[in-house]
Parts: sequence; C-alpha cells; structure tokens
Amino acid sequence: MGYLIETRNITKRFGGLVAVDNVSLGVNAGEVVAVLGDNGAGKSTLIKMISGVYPSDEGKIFFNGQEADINSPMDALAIGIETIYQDLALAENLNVYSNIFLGREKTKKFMGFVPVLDHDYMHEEASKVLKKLDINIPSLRNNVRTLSGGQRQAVAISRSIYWNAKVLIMDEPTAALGVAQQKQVLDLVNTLKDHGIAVILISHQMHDVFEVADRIVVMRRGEKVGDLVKAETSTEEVVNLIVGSEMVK
Amino acid sequence: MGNSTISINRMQQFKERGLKYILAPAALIILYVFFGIFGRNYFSYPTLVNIINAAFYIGFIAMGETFIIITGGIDLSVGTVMMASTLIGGVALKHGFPMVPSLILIILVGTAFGTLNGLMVALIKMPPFIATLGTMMISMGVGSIVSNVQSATFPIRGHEGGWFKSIFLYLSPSGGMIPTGALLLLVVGVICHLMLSSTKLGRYTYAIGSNIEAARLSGVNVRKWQMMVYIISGVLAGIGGISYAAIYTTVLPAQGQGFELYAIAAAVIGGTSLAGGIGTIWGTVIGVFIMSVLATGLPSLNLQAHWQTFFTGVIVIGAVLLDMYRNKKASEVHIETPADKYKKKESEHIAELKRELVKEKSSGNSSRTAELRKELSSLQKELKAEYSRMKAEEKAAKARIREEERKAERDFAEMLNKKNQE
Repeated sequence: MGYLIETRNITKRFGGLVAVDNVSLGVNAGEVVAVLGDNGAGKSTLIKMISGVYPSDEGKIFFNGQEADINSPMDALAIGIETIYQDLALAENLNVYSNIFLGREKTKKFMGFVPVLDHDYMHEEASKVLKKLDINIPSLRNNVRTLSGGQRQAVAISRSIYWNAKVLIMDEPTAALGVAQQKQVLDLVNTLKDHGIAVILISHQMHDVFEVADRIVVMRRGEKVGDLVKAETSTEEVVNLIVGSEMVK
Repeated sequence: MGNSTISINRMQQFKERGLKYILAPAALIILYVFFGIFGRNYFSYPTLVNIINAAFYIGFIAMGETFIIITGGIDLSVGTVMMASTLIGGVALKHGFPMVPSLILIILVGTAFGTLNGLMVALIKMPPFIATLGTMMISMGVGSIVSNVQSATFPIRGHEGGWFKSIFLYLSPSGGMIPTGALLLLVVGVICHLMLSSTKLGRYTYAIGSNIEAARLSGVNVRKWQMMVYIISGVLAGIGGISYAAIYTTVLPAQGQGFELYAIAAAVIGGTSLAGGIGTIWGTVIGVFIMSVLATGLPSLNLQAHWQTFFTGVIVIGAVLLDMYRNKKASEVHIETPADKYKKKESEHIAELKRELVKEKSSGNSSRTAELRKELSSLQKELKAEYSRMKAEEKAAKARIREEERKAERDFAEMLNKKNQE
C-alpha cells in the first residue's frame, strides 16, 4: 500500500543554513509517526513544508500517490492536511465556534446579496463535532481565552476533524499541559488513528511518543538519521540517535 | 439540572460582561446629568445639538481608528488626513469644481491616504506606529502645499453649494435646528458595527488582533484584510472631513494634529484594547460622546477648554486601569472551594424546586405549591447561613496559613541574622 502522505528528498535552506536536508518520509492512513530530534534538528521546518507554511527548495510532496503542489497553508488545507501548532494557533478573543470556522466561515446572504456570517449554523456544527469526539466545553460562545490548555488543544483538534483532515500534523501537542490533560490528548490521538487519519507527531516527550506512535523518525541537523518501528526499538536506541552516537540506515 | 447550570453560567457571564458594557454608558449618563444639575443651562436643546456637533468629526475618525486598533495596529494619521482631504476639497471648490465632485474628492483623498497606510503596514510590514506617523506628516504637508498655506472656506448657507451643511445640521426656515448628522453618524455606526459583528471582515479584524499568526495559519489572507481596515479608516477620515467643513465652514492648514489622539482616546474609553482583539463600535461612540459632553459641559461650569483636555486624560487613564483590572480578573484562575461547590449544588436544587413550583402552580395544585414554597424559603435561608459560615471558615483558615507563613519567614530571617552575626 502506498503512503497517504509522503515527502521525497525534500530540502529547505535559510540562507546558508540547511534546515532540512534531503528528507524522505511517508505515513500511512491510520498510522502515527513520531518525529524526534533535538532543538534545531529541523523537525518544525519539515512539518511546515508539509503544511504549506514554507515552500520547499527541492524535492516533492506526494498525497495519496499524487504529486501535491503545496505553496500555502490554504493549499495544504484544501487536500486535507491539517496542522495543530505548538502555540495552538487559536484566536484567543474569538469564541469556540468562530475558531473552529476561522478562515472558512459559513456565510448566508442578507437581503439576497450581502454575505453575512451564519452564527447559528456554525454554532450547531461545532457542537456536533465536539460531541462526536466526546469533548466537553461549557459554552461554545465563550472566548477561547477562558478555556484550559487541554480544552484549547481539543478545540484545535476538533477543528481539524470537522474540516475532514486526512493528515494531522501535531507540533508538541502535550508540551504545555498537565498530566491528566496530556492523557486526554493522547487518547484523542488514538481515536484519530481509529478514524483512519495519518498523524505526524512532533514531541520532546519520549513517554508520549512510545505511548502512541507506530513508527519513530529521528532527525539530526536537518537530516533523517533513523526510521524505526516502535515495537522493534527502545528508548535507549532512540536517544542515542538523537544525540548522535549511533547511525542506523 | 442541565438547564439550571446554564442559567448560573448566564448569570456569571452577565456579571462579567454586563459590567463591561454598562460602565461606559453609565459614565456618559452620569456626566450629562452632572453638568445638567451644576452647569448653566445645560439641559437644553441647543446644548444637545452642540454636544452632537462636537462629536461628529471625532466620531467618524474614531470608528476607523477602532477597526485598526482591534487588528492590533494604530493610525496616527487620521486627524491630519481628515484635514488634508478637506483642504484639497476646498481648493478644488475654489477653482470652480462643483460641490458634489468636491465632496467625493475629499473622500477619495482620505481613501488614498488610507491605502498608503495599508500598503506600508500590510505589504511592507512596517510597524503601524511609524508608517502612520509618516503619513501624518506627509498629509499635513500635502494639505499646506496644495492650499498654499491658506485656509479653505466652504460655502455658507444660502450660497451656492451651501446645501451640504444640511447633511449634518438642518436649519428649518423658522429657526429650528435638527442635527441630521446624528442620523448619519448613527447609520455609519450601524454599518461599521454590522461589519465587525457579522461579516468575514469583522471576524478577521478580531482574529488578526488576537493572534495574527493563527489567522495566517488558518488560511486567512491577512494582508488583504489588514489593508482593508486602513482603507476603511481613510474613507471615514474623508467623511469626518466633510462633517468638519459642514460644522465649522473654514478649514486651516495647521489643524488636524492631535485629533488622532482624541480618536484613540475615544476608542480606549469605549473599551477597545490597544493590545488588539477587543473592542466595539458602540463603545467608541460612547467614548466620543463622553469627550463631547466634557467639551461642552466644562465651559458651562466656567471652566475653560484646557480643563477638557485635563479631564479627558483622567478618564482615559481611568478607563485603561479598569480594563487592566478586568483582564486580571478574567485571567485569574478561580479555584472552587468546598463553599463554592456547596453553593452551586444547593442552587441547582433550589432551581429544580422552583421549576416544580411553576409546574404545580399552572396545574393548580394549591396544597403542593404552599408546601414547596415553605421548603424553598427554608432552603434558601439555610443556604445563605451555611454558605457564609463556610466562607468565613475558609477565610479564617487562609489567614491562619498566611500568619504561619509569615512566622516561618520571620524565624528564617532571624536565623540568618544570627548566623551573620556569628
């Protein structure tokens, strides 16, 4: 079976610095692949190329076996690649449903020609998707500012699911959360896996990675230095790869 | 049970939000009544017309400023752009331009300056403060250059083209005054409000101000919408310029500087946050009228114009302090103590009984209703007593802990002192 999302020999340079060097990475539907690496190893740059924030300098991205032309976040969203960023990328002063619909608001015609926001529709749809994912948020009219870290994460994830994400990229999804909330998010990742979504997970937390990932990709100084099946590896091996005392092809 | 929790949430929301929405209007009414009681002749129709007349031009530019501040930007050029466009319109009029094209020219010049700001901020990514500071100076210069440092005079009533004054103040043949401009301000206000609350433009205005990166990553075309708000501000500066010409007839090249600060002050008094993401048109309009009431009210107390600037400053600082206090409250983590939990649980119980009471009442079961009433009142009494007892206990416990902490600190300091002496 071919990969759902795949990068082939992808490279990104910032001036003289090669942030991502010739990286090939594939993820199947319903698979969780964790990308590990030290700070500055190029993890974030890699996912930003897949999600369309940075255009790649060399190499290609394939979606479902077809070459995908991703030049902006909108292109990525259009084919079903959704990203949940470290800082969550939610607008704090907007309410829950406005955030779920941000950038893709549903409008209706007022007096036949003026497009106005359809608040009721968005509210209803948002509550449906939260229910589907078993997420409990008191009022969807509350500003996101008033929510806890775990709830914000849940809002961000449900936004992706609502927009039919096929590939979900998560950048440090548990970094700012308490223990109980971390567990909720990891459970949610497992739910996503069951829904057949390809998940790319970036994390510093070895524990998280070993709990949910199927495969572990290690990056160092922009290069991919390891691609391991979780069941066949150990924390030790992964750590050695991250710090660079071992090389596995 | 679901229903009662919602109603409790609503109550809390009202307490938090309601306060926010009521404060500024309340301040406006209190000021108006205050001057009405202590000022000379303040409660009169001509004074009211004066208040409205003094509010126009700041009103229009303040609305544009509100859009920009909500996106997290600032526009320092609105005042001088307003004057420059009016001067240019006046010069065109002097050179034989008819009235209507001159008025349109005023709006176009305002729009052009707004577009210039938008280009610099949205495309070149210049800091709005610097970009609009430049535009402020440029527009002031342009006004002086085009008018050759001479004032522009607009036609007075009865002369050709003098009709445009009636857009803002209608004088009936019998001498009555109708501030028709209030209607125009209202219409423009309603349009701006609807744009902010019900269109994509508004949604993105708030989104950009809350988290510009999030907006970009969500696929919002940030450049385009940022550009739009500066253009809107330019258009409104043009409209403000026309209203200024209509009320004051003569426009001087040196005027305009400082108006932008009043516009910003109005927005801030009305609850717009300079950090972006928060603000409403209504708040700004209220802010404008608060300043306008001050401007007209203080002279009626025999206090001159400089007192107005003084008090406006006081109110701006007061408004910001309040905003900071509210934000602090909102972001405070509220930990539910056993007392809070008890109150919540009992309130739910009471709400349930109340619903039952309503049901029984409508079905006409009088003995049951009486019983329920009795139960309710005893429950409410119990809740009140128990809650205050628990709260007091918690307070005492907190104080005790604090006292212990202090004592420990003192002991520690003493210990250190001893060590040092040795």
